[in-house]
Amino acid sequence: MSADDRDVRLEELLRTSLYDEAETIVPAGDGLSRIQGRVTTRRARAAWWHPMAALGGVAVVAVAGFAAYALTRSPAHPSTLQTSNNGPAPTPTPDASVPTPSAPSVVKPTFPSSAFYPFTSEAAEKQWVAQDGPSKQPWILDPTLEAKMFVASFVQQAGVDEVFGSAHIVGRTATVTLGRTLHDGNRAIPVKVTTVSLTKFDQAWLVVGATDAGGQLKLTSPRSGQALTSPAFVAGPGYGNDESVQVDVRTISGVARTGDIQPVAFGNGVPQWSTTVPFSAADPRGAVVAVELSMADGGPARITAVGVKFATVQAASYPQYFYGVKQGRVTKFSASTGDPVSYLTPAEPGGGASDPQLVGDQVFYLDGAGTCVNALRSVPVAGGAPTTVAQPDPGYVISGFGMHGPTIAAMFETACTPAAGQPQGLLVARDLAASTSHTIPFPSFPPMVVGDPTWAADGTHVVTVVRTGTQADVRQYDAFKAATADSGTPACSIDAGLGLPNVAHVDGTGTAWVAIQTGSGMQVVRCAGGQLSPAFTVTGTDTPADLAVADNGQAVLLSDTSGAVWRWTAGSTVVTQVQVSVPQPQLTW
Amino acid sequence: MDAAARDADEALVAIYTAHYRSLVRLSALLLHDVPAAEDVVQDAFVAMHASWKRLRDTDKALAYLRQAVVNRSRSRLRHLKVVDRKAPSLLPADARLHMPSAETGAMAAIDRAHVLVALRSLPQRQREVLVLRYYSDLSEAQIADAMGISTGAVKSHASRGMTALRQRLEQTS
Repeated sequence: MSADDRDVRLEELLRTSLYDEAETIVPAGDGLSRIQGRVTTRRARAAWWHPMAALGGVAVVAVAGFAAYALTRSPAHPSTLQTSNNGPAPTPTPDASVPTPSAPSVVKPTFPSSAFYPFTSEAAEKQWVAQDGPSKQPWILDPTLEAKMFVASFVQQAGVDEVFGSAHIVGRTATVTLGRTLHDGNRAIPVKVTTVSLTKFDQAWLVVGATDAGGQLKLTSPRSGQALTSPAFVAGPGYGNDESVQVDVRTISGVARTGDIQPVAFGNGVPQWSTTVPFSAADPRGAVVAVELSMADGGPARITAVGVKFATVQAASYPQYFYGVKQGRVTKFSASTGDPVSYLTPAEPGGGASDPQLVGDQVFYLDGAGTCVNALRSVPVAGGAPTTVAQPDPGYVISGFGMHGPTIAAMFETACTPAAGQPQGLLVARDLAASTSHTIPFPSFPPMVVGDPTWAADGTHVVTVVRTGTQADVRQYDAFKAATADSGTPACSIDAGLGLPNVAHVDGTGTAWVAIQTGSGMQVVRCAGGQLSPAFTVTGTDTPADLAVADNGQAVLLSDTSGAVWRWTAGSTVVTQVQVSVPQPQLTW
Repeated sequence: MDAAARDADEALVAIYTAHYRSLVRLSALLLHDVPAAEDVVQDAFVAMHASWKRLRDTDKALAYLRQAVVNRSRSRLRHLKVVDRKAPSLLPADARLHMPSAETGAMAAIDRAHVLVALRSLPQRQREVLVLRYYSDLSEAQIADAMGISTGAVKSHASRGMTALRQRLEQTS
């Protein structure tokens, strides 16, 4: 390392040390009221001083005048002087024209902007006080107990309960350094893990952040009090060697992170580490928490927490209705209540509608009329007679379809009873207006198309989820040129570790939406410009069945294979389950 | 209340909102005493309010505040040193900072605590220059203005301060 490198390193070390130290210094919240009080007092003194000074000036002039007079007068007339000095000096009264100073204005202490535990608002703290919280939860009144509770219940790291020194309380701020005993062979080593910073508001001590007591695990992003939108961008300087940190977004309600926790490796000369953490937070505030585990015993070695706000993005609105199927008929439902509004197709004994898809002013759907017999039909949203749009190839049944406008269809057809040499599946593109068609054979399953194929924005490529044994990926086929099932290219790179893609849908803006079955539920992600970004997550064990995305990409319906339906709008952190009266595994906006 | 007084009151609130915390932190880094730092900064704000007729500009007011904070912090330190000499000897306030950290990494030997302890051991002017440079991110001219010295003296204090800081850290690592 050169001398210049050492200088730069020392400068950076000094800068970060000063910044980190400064971050722990939180002035009391009454600074402004104290300054204003002193300003008011000074102003009041000045208001008194001016008339006094005026009177004083008069007195000086008078005394001088009298002195001059006395010196120039003959001693035969001393009485004048004596008379003038008789009696007490007049008491000055404030001039009525001088404004009476108002009482010092007291600025009400504000709730700390970066506080996030155990309260996220002034109202919550006041409610706690009103409900006898101080006697029921006395630990909130003690910064040391509060710090321990924070690490145990919020960060959820057990065993970090040894206090190093004592709480360092300065006015209404406190820092508490906590650690644990690390057992390395026969040695028991006390180690510091984190320094928790707290601020007192009203009666409660509030956690505003925590830093690594050793100064090695730091976050440069986000900043304390920053308003975050999902996914959170988290970064820090890459000190050390072979380090690894787990980053989480947490609130007082629990984990706000929506994906699996991913360890981030850093150190070894790489100047900065970073990661993104998708989250969905119902609370207004929370914290980005970074935990580094000890290589010696796997316990927590360093903990850093930065208090953040969750940006309130105006949630988009969603269409008033969606279309599903009830009693084998295409049915219009209220998107807010899930109640059926009207039937679009007549009752069909022995068959019925499935897989409705709204395109313009028509709902396209599959109409089954017996075993392995169906057709692609459409019905006007405003009501009217259904018409047949397309039939499957002989010996096949349409298992999924997607429309590009009202005249271009992509259908995945499955052989009813595959004969020797006959492909088990066909991905068929048809231009209904030009009466042209192209077929991509799928000789045997797997690979096979699952869910509905969907058209890319260019109208020439079809995006599908292709299942390949236990894996699945999202592929794009040149709909009118591709020759084989293997000629598809990845449309969206989804890491196999994220889960199993089940459904894909391209909205009117060209963004591909994919519903993935993860280990902990269903996650919907967006894929645009090669970048994957999470939209929302539904926890549980359900399997995604269908995905309906409004053309503008602002509203999504997700159904599972049992027919439960969830609604999400862009910008919202909440996913609402729609209380449908009958299960709706397949639906459309 | 006349317009000038109202103007001063409004400026006070605006400048307080934007800079109070960073000024307290600056003073606390110089003093190592947060309540004293708050007193120093509040004094500076009261003085700034009294001088508002002359300043009448946020930038000038901020420069005035910085200068007042540095000067008053220096005076407070001088006072504390006199008090310390008369007080019985105590354990160093920074002793707690020398506790071992969780991991013994490459940077553990020269961690934040060591840097801050080393910084506090520097001569006052050098410490002030380094804090103004690396915490407040001031230029040499602004530091010179805040400390009431020449830019040449700023360079000199900065250079000597960094050299001394490096030597102290090397001694402790």
